[in-house]
Amino acid sequence: MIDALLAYTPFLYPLPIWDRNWLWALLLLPLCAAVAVVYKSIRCSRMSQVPREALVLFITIVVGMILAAAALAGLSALME
Amino acid sequence: MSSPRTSQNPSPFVVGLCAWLVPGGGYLALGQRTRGITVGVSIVALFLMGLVIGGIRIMDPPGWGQYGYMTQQIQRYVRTNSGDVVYSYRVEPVDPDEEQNPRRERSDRPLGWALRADPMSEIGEKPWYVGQILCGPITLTASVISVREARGTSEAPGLSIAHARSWELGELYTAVAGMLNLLVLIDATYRAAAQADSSAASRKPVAEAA
Repeated sequence: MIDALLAYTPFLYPLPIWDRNWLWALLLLPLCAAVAVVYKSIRCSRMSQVPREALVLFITIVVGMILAAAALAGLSALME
Repeated sequence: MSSPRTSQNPSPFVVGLCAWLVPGGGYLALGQRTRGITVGVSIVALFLMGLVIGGIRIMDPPGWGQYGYMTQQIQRYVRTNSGDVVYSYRVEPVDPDEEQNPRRERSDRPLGWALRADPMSEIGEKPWYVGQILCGPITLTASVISVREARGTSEAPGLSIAHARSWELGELYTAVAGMLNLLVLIDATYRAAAQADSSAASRKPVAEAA
């Protein structure tokens, strides 16, 4: 891990985090945050509403994806 | 904030063009500075995060192969018992010489650059680029750098394309950034058209009264 980080050049090589199996799932968070902020910036008539609305949407997306992942994991365990 | 412009409103086409050239630029052209900056920073940050996650080689523009040279379309004639069969295939050159002369057999007939010879098929091979290009010139700049890095030099080999999760997440981030910019472009253009309609409607009673 340390060797990979030392050899890493941002923007040139892929991010060396793939040997930690759980870490890549955290990359879901910035993606959901950006989608929530941009979507609510379009939808809200006043920009002062955006932070709160975007936070609610962000939490909804993340919780929805966690529930979907849990349901799929359960289904997969049942089929095995 | 969304403050309507009192001076002459930009046309929806100009707003759409600004929105494509710079993410959030459409709102800035309409005078909606906070909305433009919020949206622009979010989209550009998402795009740059995609490049950080997958590396610059996640930019894989149609028309260029994995070694950074122009993909060539070839037509080949094969004589069979039931007659001549013609089929075409693509070559991704590994060096400038192969780019100039991509023939594998003497009967091969080069049709030229694949993006020109068969554009729909070439774009269909890399559909994620359609999403990425919606981010505007930032995508074109990253693509030029990606192709240059793929070629390498006499001292160092070119960068290979990203794989597995690096590829998937990098593509996802950059393509989602482009799709969000499409939403923003449509919304900014719609707002520009609505502003033009409302200013035309407000002028109409004055003209009728005169």
